[in-house]
Amino acid sequence: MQHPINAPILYIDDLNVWYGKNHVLKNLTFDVFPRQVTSFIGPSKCGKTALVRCFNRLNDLKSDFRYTGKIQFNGVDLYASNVNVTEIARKIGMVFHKPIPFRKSIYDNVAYTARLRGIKQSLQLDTIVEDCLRAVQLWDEVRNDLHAYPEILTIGQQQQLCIARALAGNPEILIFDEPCEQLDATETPKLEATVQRLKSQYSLIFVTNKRRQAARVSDIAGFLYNGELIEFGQTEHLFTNPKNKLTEDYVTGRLG
Amino acid sequence: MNAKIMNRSELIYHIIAIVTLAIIIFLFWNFSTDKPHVEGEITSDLAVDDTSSLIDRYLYRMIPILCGAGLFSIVIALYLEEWLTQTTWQYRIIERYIVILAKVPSLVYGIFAVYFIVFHSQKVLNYPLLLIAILLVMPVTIRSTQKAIQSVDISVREAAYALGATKLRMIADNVLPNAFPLIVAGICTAISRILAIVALIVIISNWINSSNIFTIPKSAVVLISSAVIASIFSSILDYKQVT
Ligand SMILES: Nc1ncnc2c1ncn2[C@@H]1O[C@H](COP(=O)(O)OP(=O)(O)OP(=O)(O)O)[C@@H](O)[C@H]1O
Ligand SMILES: [Mg+2]
Repeated sequence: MQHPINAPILYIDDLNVWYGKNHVLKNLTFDVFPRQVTSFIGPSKCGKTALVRCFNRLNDLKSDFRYTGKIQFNGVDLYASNVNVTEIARKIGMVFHKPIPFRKSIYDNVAYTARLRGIKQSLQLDTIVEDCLRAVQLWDEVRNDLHAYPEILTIGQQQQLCIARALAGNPEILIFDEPCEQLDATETPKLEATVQRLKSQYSLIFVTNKRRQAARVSDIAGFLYNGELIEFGQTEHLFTNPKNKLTEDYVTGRLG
Repeated sequence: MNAKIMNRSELIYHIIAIVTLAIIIFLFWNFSTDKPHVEGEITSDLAVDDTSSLIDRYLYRMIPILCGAGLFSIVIALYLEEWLTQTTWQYRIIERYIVILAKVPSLVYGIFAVYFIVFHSQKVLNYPLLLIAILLVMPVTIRSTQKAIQSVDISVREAAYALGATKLRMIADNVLPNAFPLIVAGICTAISRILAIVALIVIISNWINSSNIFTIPKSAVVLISSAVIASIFSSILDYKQVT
């Protein structure tokens, strides 16, 4: 975080991604800047998930994944051979479209990530767990049930727990891949509020297929269509004054 | 609330598992100490006049071998599922063998075991017996461990990797705890198979050596009931995982 605010935290140049013969991302070039919410919108199957999975190297799990182009994280090539993949995954946290709490207590779920980075002292773990749960405003709700299993929580609370768990890894970037898909109407605003609060400390990447949500939460927005980045820029401009006809059709609801 | 209850019942199952295993091992132990044998006599000719000395000679020495085979099965299953991917030809070949061996009725192994112990007792062949025990235990344990590992959702694995877990940490923290009940269930099935075969050996050697052909030795009864207990327990664990 010592980098100047105007240096991109992620630098993507001419990125192409294939799953087997399926060319899922085509010639993507953009930058992600710190302390901002960068959202990606687009219809289903346009490659949003494929894109964000490049950043934390989750695509490596797919045997037929192939890419060309450049992805730099803080100026370092993410796919260089000397890069520590687990370190990258910790620094670039991810929240999935459905909450995936582990079959451990609420406390151990959050402490899991802290332990991964070598923290063992229980006092220190207690502090981290409390801080992370406070950051997602879950602390007051679960402080008496820390050793219960996450099943006692609502889906929305579970998703907040997953955010807290990612925060315990002390990440620099936090990726949200359609985090509200399983949430109901009352829980979605809470998660959006959490995203707004986290913005001051982290760089956030927010994937959604709800245009209004992207307009609400993000500063920068990118519109993906069939694996191409049609338009990328200030959210306000993209929604009110799109340069591209496709973007206009999408944000006005005529497309997808 | 619900989760706490779940947690407690889980604990009870684990306790039951340990207690059952302890009882079974205790039974074995009892047999082996019932009539202490003379060292050095083991590999010499075997007078099959006493069924409990049979158990004494074979089962007692087999327990460590079986424990080893069980652990080794878990390692093999982990290797197959986590390192050899399901699409490679090595995986497919090994899996075929294991499936076939696991599907062979245990009676087939039993016939071999009876043949070697009862009819070849003059020159004791340890290795064939060992092989039979391993063939009886390992395929079923590997199969059930594989199924247990496969039952852990891919999303859980991805979530662990996305937090920066290494593969070993992910296996230790996420796969094994989730799969534990099913793995124990598989080991129970294997134990039950072994016990049933030993009971068969005891009964047949008793028939051959005793003047009264219609008696069933007490030890066989104990063995059969332990086999049943083991399979009941295995099914409890299986059932729990399904619901
Ligand atoms: N495992 C896979 N193997 C091959 N192709 C895949 C695989 N997963 C996804 N794809 C393809 O990659 C493309 C992009 O999919 P991706 O999941 O990134 O879309 P998405 O924008 O996230 O969609 P959604 O809104 O449904 O989440 C699609 O064409 C899809 O069919
Ligand atoms: Mg997606």
